[in-house]
Amino acid sequence: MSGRTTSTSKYIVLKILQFIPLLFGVVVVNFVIIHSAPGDPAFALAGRSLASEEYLTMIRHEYGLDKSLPEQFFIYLTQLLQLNLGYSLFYRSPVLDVILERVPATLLLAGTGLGIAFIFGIILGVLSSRKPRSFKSNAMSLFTLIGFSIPEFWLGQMLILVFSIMLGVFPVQGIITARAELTGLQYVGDVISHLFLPAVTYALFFLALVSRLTRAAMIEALSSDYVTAARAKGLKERTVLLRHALRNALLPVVTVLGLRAGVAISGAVLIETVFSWPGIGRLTSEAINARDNPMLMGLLIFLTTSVILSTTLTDVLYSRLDPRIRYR
Amino acid sequence: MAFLQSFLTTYAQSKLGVVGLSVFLVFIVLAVVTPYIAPFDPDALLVGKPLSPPSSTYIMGTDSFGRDVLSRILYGTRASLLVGVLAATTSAIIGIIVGAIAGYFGGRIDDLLMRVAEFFIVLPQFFLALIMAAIYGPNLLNIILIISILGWPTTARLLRAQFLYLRELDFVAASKVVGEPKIRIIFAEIFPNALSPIIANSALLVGTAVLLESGLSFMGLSDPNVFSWGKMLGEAQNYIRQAWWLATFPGSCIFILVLAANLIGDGLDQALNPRLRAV
Repeated sequence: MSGRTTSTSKYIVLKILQFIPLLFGVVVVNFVIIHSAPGDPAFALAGRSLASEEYLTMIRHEYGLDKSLPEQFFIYLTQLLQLNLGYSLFYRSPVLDVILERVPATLLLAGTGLGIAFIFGIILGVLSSRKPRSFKSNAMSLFTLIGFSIPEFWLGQMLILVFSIMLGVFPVQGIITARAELTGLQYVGDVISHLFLPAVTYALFFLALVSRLTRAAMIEALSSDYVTAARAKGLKERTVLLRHALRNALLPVVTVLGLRAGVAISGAVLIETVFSWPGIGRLTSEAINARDNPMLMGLLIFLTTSVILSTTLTDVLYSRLDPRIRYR
Repeated sequence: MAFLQSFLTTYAQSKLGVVGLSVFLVFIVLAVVTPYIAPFDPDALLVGKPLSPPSSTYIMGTDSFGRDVLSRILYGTRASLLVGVLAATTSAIIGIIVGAIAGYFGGRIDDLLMRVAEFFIVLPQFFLALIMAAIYGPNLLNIILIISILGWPTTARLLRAQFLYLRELDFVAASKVVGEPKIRIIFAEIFPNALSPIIANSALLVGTAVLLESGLSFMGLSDPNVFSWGKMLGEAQNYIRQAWWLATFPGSCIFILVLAANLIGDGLDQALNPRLRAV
């Protein structure tokens, strides 16, 4: 037992050590983008439209833009390590503050969407794994293909058209009804009714992904020896399916989902724009329209770091969940 | 020829694959004949009353500037196909070069290249594409390059896996003994044998590229000189209450084209992958 604990903690340390070069890679990518931008890199750091000549001079000084490239990289890195992601002239506040303000809305949307996708994806995957060549199963593959092919933002527009405009069941946009002073349960209900359509839109891609992964993992698990053994013991089919097969099948599903954190964030950008959902994604489209470059670069650093953090966490979690993984 | 024939017969067995290919060919034909069949000049303002619903004259209605939606969609076919096919080809080429080098030489180079590929897979692709397009400027060439730079790792990984297996086989050893140059062994001996998973994957890359392009132009990052379905959806966003047709038709086109590309990918996979065929 103690042997396993040490090997797991070694594995975690190893993963964290691998995390550092990835993070370094992110900083390099950012630095390269800033410096390969057409024109003066000060524009990329300041935001072209609003910056005065004095401000640009200040930025040039702050980031040492008259020094050599390696020195500039070092200065840039030091700024980031001090959590200075720059200053947005458009929002008139530090980039990191604006981003952090928007994080909860995105977490609410993504969390709900992923929750829906996970629950229904597993149900669909299990149901279709039982007879892999049946009509139901083929219909499932077609559904997954549709989930991967449909542009999410367009799906959002279509849902708005049908459910908000034609049927009037859900509000069109935003996170709460403007100017309605709601409290307590009414407030929660209002947010939920605003959340429903964007969350469903967000869920579809992941629903397709989870159900396909679950199906594949279940088909494999159902043909394995321990399932045959469980059946031979005379256990109920339900017990075999859920307690024996599904438990083992879930592991790869969780992992792949964790590694898709990048996709999760990309999806939020478009969907939040369609639904005017005031999160990180909406912030991105505002920053693009305002040509707020420091905000964009800050978002890039912030999001890529979060993505890499979440993949590292998934790896670590995986090592805790799967007894077969041991690292010396 | 015999190979081609057997390939075509196996491909034809996948009904959905045939449907996908037919739809894709229809889009190509439309892109070619667009100037002859478009009912109006796609840029002409006020060919009809702004925001007129679909009718026999304006089959897909008009937009807020009174431009004909159908004509704009037809011209948009060209950009989507161009970006889809060119970006998929370029990223496949980058992936092939990286994957071949990593798989053939192995060792340190392999480790390094695969680390880089993994890094690119983990990154939020669409987000990175957005920011690069915003900073470098969203012209057609930049968009194709950005999508290619983000799309190569899947191809590289697939090809590397093939190479790791194939390089150990006798025919490679034979070429080495004869003294063929490395570059010839890589590209003339091993590569043709490693090709099949790459072909199926490239069809999927076309779909991804079309989706990425439409997402970028939806966000307002598109070439101002090019007609784009995604851009039409971005404009439709402001009129969603008044004009259902503005979003419905261009979005359906993106969906159908991407679905066709994915169906082709699945069909190719079944036709070229002997293990899937046996099932």
